[in-house]
Amino acid sequence: MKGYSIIDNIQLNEKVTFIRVRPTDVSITIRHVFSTLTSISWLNDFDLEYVKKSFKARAEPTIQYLKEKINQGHSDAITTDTGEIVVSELARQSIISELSYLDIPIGELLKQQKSGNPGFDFFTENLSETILFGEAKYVNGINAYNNSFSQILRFIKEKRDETDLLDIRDFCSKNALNNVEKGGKGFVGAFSSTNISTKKLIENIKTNSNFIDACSHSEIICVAVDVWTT
Amino acid sequence: MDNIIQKIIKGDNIDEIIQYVKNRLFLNGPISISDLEILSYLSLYHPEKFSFHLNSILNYMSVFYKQTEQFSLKDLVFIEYKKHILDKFKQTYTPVQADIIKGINSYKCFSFSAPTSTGKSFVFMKQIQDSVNDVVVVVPSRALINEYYLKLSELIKDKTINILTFIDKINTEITSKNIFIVTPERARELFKRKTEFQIDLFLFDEAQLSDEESKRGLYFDSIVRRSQKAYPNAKYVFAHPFVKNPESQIIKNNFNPATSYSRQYEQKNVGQMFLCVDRDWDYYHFGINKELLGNRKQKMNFDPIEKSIINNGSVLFFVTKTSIYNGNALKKFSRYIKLCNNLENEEVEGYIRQLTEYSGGVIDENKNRYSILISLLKKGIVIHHGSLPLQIRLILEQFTKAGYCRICFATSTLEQGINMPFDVVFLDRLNKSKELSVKNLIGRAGRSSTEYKFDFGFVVANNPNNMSKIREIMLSNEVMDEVSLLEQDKSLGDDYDEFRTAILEGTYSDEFNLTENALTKLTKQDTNEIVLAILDLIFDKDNRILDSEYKQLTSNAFLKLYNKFVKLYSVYLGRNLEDGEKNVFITAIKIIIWRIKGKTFKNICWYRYAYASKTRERRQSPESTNLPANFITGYEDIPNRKLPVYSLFPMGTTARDVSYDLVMYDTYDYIDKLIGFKLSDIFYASFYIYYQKNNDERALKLALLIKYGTDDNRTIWMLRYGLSFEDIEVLDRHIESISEKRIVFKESIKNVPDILKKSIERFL
Repeated sequence: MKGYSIIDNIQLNEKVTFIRVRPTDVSITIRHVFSTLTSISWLNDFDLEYVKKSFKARAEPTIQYLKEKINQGHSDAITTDTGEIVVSELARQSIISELSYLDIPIGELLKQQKSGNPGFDFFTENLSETILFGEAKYVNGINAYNNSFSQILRFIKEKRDETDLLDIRDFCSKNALNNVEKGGKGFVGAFSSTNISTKKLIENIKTNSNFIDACSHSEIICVAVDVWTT
Repeated sequence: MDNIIQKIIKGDNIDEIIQYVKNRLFLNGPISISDLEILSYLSLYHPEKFSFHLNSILNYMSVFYKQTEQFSLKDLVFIEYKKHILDKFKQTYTPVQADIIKGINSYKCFSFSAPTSTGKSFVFMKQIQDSVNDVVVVVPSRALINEYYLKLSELIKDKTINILTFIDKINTEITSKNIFIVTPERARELFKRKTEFQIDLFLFDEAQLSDEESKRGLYFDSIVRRSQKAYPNAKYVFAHPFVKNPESQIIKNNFNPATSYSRQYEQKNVGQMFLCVDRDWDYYHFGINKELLGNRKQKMNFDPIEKSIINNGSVLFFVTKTSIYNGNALKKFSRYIKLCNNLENEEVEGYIRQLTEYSGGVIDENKNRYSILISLLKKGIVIHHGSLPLQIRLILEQFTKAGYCRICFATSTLEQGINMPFDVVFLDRLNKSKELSVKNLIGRAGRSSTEYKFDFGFVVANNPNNMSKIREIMLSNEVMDEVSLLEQDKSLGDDYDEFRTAILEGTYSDEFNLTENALTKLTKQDTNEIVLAILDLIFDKDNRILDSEYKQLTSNAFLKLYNKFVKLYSVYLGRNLEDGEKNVFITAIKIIIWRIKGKTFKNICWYRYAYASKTRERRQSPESTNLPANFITGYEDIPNRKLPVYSLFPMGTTARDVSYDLVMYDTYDYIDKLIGFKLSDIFYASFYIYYQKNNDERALKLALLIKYGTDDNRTIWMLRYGLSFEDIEVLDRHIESISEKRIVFKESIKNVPDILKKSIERFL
């Protein structure tokens, strides 16, 4: 599964990285997430035959329909949800491929969720054993970094990162978990972007107060996903 | 996660709790009692927040009969599956319903269990309807026969399909296929004429009967075995509620594992909230899983029963039969009865009229034969237990289904009767030995609807001390035996053992429903002499049966007759009757004599009531209000050597306090449980065999009268077409001819009101 290319991977300073992702075919990501969701849902155990034999063919028109909606810039609930999942998954994958950080697949994560904490969307661990909490935002027609970073700050305030640890403790190293307790943690702000230039986008992000506040933590990654290009 | 009930009530961590339960629903489906409890609490205490998540909750539950939207990819996972089912089955089934159909269609034998209200009956109805050839549905009770009959009659409009509650071959000129809905006992008739039918499907509903340590349990298994032998190409389906190991039917009945399949479905469509009430009528919440929902009960700020009645909901009080009989149930819950206003409605009046006509009871409190059962109906209050005459039960069930029932007082027989949900189920008793029944009743709490909402109901324990019992029952696993009673050595008394041997050896007589041993006893020389003596006593010289008004039943001739019947029964038992059982037996004989003299159910109740309540004496001297009631023997199961001599009305009961309802219930118990299930087979066999040997027409007449209540061929045909004696009274004159081939009606049938033609509408 690929379906995207990395347009930019820029180290903004020693602890901030900017990555720009361009989906080549968003339907690949939608298909991947949709089939992952189906395979972890209770229907998989209930009717394995359906999941194995009928689901693939059945889901295809739906996947194309969702792709169309994203392409056409719809902003209804299903498009926003799908867009957010696409942003989240592409951000996660690009961090793994570009930075070689820990891979915690979405399906594994969802299966593991125990806390009920409506917290971060995805997680990873960097090479210095620091956990990064990822928040993805999709808003049609804008560069949604503010939405993403303001949500990150809110979640930090509400200590949702701490409660999220319950769900990810089986994936991360002990040291990384200990580090969180000592305040060592990073964040990923993933967001849908427009056809703005990378230079301009980075300039704008740098002046965003929520981003600036978030930078007080160990590591920050900004992932812009050009959903509009697909 | 802990203390969830308290947190929800206080409003703490609501988002977290919702997310927690949504995750679990998505991953595991609606199988956890606790998850559904949590959803019920959220829905009750945080309707606004809950409504925000309702769409996905309904999608994750896959209650596809509700209209939902697709707001997220997770929603789409289930909506795709809904579409898949719709494409495949052309119906909006739930996953469980669709899987049941798949199981039936893919295997020769399919055994499953599913919680109450999973909509299995909807699936069954379709399968029965779609079957090309004959279908046999085996259910444990006559009440369930009627439920199936009504549903199928409503669903299947094609009059070439016979829907019969007995195994019979009728209406042959018109019929394309037969659907038989029978009890295991009635199913035996099938094997006498097995070549006449082509059975595609055997459907054993409430098949947990197989696990009952009784003759019925044995009989059930024997019917399964014999059906397999007689119809090797048919499909076999077994349905149970909540049973952990539905595969037991496959194992114990030796179905081929390669062509058999079983599945336990745990998915529920409706949530439940568990409550208890203390002496001050304060209600408390409690959870089934203490670790998750909290250890302590949490006080509620409203009375759920009061709220339900005021909002036109319905409440089921699960009580003992004794508390119904002695009126304690009505007294205890009078605070709720008071909330029920009279239903001023023509349809309700119609139900009341039907009841008074059938039972002979009246609703005027100051008159003889006052029936509390009927008068309560006016307020929407239904009383339901195993001693209710079937006709009355049917009317009450229709009344309930029509939505008039506000409160229902019921014993455990309800589980085999009204298949209807209530908003509140109040458990005033907890029978731990019948956990499956209690679970089944608890399953009635909460109506599943097509409305866009999360459906849930309340289950109330009558005492905070019963919280742990309810938890135990809800968490227990019902496991069925994997070895049939037929193969177990367990002795359950001589009668039972003899029955089992006869079934195993194939010597059980289907014609007479008796063992070979019993038949041998009934054909001995001394039995012949007793039968002859009975015939000589019961018929006068013109071959008419003796008059049988109540006072005549104490005449010398009758006393002699009773003694002869006692002797006949003693031969059958192989011992003399003790005094207690003799009283019961003689009362049954009196009722048999009334019946063969054509007395209706209400006539018999009237006789017994008039005697017990001394109506004549009270009429003659109205001032003597303290007259004691007469002694009448109430029904008890016999044979039972230890049965004492006792009256239905205890010492000290005044004549005017004799309850007509009680007389009615007791009379029905005699007719149903003793005469119907035991004595009529013995007497029919005795007289019929005597007729075969001696060609004495009187014996044939008496045998037929005992079996059918008539010896008239035309009337017997009408009974075989499913008409009751009450129907025959009205419809006989509109029937030109009747035979195996069909009923030919006269033109005048068109003038008969529809309500009176219900029993024959499929033959018109």
